[in-house]
Amino acid sequence: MPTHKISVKFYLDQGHNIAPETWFKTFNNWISAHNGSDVLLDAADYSHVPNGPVTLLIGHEYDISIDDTDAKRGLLYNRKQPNGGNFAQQLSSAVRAACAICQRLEAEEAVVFRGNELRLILNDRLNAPNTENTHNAINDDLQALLHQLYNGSEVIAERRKDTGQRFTLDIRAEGDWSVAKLLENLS
Amino acid sequence: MATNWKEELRDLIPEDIGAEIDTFEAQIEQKKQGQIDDRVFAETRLRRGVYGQRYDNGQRFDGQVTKPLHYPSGDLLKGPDTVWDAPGMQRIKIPYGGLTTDQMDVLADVAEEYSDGILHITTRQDIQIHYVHIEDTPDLMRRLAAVGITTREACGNSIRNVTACPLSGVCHTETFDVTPYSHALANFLLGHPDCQDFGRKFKIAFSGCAQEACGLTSMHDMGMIARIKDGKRGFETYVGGGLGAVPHQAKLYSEFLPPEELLPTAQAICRVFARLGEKTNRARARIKFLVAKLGIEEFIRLVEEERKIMPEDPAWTAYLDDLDNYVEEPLKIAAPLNGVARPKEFDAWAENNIYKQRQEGYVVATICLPLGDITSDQMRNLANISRKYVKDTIRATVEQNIILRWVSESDVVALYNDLCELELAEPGAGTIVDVTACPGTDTCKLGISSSRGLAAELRTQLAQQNLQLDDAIKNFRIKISGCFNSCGQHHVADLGFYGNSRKINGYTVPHFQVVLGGQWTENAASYGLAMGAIPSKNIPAVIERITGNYVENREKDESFQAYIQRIGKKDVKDLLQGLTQVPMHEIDPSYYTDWGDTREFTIGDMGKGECAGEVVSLVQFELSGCETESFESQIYLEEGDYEAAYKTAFSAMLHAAKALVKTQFLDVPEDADVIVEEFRTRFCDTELFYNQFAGAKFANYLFRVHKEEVGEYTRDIAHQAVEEAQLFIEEAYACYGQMNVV
Repeated sequence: MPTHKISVKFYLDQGHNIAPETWFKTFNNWISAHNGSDVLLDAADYSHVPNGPVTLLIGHEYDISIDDTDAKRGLLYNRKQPNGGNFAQQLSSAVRAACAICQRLEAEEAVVFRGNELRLILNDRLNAPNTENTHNAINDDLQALLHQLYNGSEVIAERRKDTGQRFTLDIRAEGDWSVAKLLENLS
Repeated sequence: MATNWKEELRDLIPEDIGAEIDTFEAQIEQKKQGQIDDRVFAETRLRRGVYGQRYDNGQRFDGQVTKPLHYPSGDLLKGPDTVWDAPGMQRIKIPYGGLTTDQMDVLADVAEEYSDGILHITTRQDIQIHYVHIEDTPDLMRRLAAVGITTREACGNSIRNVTACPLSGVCHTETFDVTPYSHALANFLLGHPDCQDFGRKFKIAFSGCAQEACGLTSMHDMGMIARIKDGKRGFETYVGGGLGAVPHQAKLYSEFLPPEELLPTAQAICRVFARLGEKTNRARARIKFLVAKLGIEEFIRLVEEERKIMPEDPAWTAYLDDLDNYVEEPLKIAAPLNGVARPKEFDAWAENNIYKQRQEGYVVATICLPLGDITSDQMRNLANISRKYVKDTIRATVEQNIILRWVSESDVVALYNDLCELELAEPGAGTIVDVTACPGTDTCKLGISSSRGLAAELRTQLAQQNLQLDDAIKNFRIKISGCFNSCGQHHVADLGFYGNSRKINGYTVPHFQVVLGGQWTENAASYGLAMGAIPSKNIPAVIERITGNYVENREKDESFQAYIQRIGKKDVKDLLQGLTQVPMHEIDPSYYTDWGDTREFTIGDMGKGECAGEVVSLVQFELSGCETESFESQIYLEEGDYEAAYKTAFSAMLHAAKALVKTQFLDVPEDADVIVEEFRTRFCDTELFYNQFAGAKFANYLFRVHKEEVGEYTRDIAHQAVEEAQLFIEEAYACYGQMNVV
């Protein structure tokens, strides 16, 4: 499949009131403490802009943001560089990375993420336009991943129909799921 | 389905623009293969609007130590000290700020896919997006080109975005609508051969009248103010203005320049600037220094002489026939609001965000953007809203806002409600809360202090106090630059600030220089006075004291500018006493951290700015372009397109010859026969283009291909031309070197 530019967002369940400065400090600390092979290079504050990226951690391979799009705060992982493997592997890898970041934030800040709801975006209008064809093309890989992620529970994936938007699926699973459990399921 | 944007958009991009972007893409590939010099490539990408960003030297201060950023491409550079993988800023030119809804959609898309989903309106009606990877830029440019937007010459030593009053055509005080003239001049000078050899950038602005601020013509390299003389339109024309560290007020060039002379005069000015402007000392390379050095009378004389010898160009007057075709139309009929229920906050918003047009029944609505930022979603939704109320009559402003023109008065409440839905209905446009700031330390390599951090803080504080603020100061302008280079236009604000730092108690402490009493109106008629550096954290207190004192002590109807002049620097210093003090780090460490940052302050993150571009001579630049053509001819050869390979190889040789000829004959035309003959006479017959061992062999390659009539383009014929082109260009470099002008 078409693209490695995959974004995954998990929504906050607790911790909506944490100030943008706290996120900014957290992300700066992550840059300082980082010793992985990927590159984290800057933090940006956009808290003055409504319904957008509140605080952004910019990397070379991916960006992370505390994101307020649609007035729903969450953690958005945005993959920019290829991560190896086929689409199924890249999809799985992006969801796993997003879960891991949520888990790290839960450990460092007073936040809890809802694991039963996520937004999947293909950030590539050329290779993954917002059409039913794209949905069909990725559906097998997606269903396999969701089956694994939610351990076979019932899952609804709804595509946003606005053609101006990127290909976006809002995904909801039956039951309560922590990001830790999701990570465990993906391992 | 197309698999790349080049293919997908082929039919939507004009051929020449598509070819330019293809060339830039080839240059990126060449750079990766080490075939282009760092400086040449830096200037090449700058002229495509691809600009460096903070930390692109591969280092970042984390509050305690400076750490290296280990990008995957290792040592590969995209300019001197600029790491290949480091994301950068893409500046996008929006001539006179004019936007269409389709363009807004695409801007939203590219910001989302290649940047961080934020579009930033600049103080010169451009749009910037940040954190863009260089390898994404050709596709980004193609997508913009498909809706009529260019990034060409958005940065570098070139003609920058041509700005104009955003109210042109609807303003009560204008002489006439300057929009079509600014559009024509921008088009004419874009990529013009006479504008490719500047020592620095060149900025042009248009204003519809003298008394308002809109065009800010006094602070531009070239500024035009609409005038009518004997019933005929024309322009009062200024030259040599500019801000920067050493601000200059523009000098009057002509009291009345008729429209048929607008383009040729601008061209003549550019030629004089290219020929006589400083090239070595970047700090004195703007045209304002040339005008000051020569004196305005001598400068005018030189331009007029140049004007006389310039070859006639039909384009000079061709645009005049199109002037009448430029018509803006409303989408809806004019109708009054007539008792429509107004939401609670509407009146406060309308007070400053609505401007009644001179056309009865229509208004301009200002969408106030905090720090000039708008998300992709907001931009896309704003495009949709605009489609409901106006016909592509949208403009970006130098105050970093967006305006919708030709809104029927009857729609104003509905528009307001729609903007509220997008959280784009912030009141206070053009008032003290509508703070302007350049990117500063957030993303700019030259930034010293956080202009955006301070702007955000002031915006928040002033918005909270807004209702209590005295009317005398409500319409003050606050403008902030991260350094002395004035991108935030602090010189022309009532309250201006620019970033600097002071070493105190063994620490570097962020400060802002306070600049008071600049004049925004009358096209930025006078600049403010520097009053001293104050720690960043005390700037809100500076504003409180100064404005408080003004409200209390001003004489009847005394303007702020007059008040500052009257009380003088000494009284202002006294007023600010105490605010220069910085507590010990142990007592209050907040002074050692800048606004909007959590790290301890440093100036170690500063880098070499790219505002000045790289000084690359026109010949070097053009020969580099020939190398790219030669490179492309090799690609065609490999792909089996022998005709294209042959023709591109010839074109590479021809352009290399032309580059050399231009050192003696600036106006050499594009005609191949003329170029070849001029080259033969000036370089071959004189043995300037003469190899010590091979004699005229390389020159003969050009002559041979030029006269050759090819029946069938075979691989052998193409291959020979490709090889010869490469050798010819190498010899052109050698020739240029021997001319001792490198």
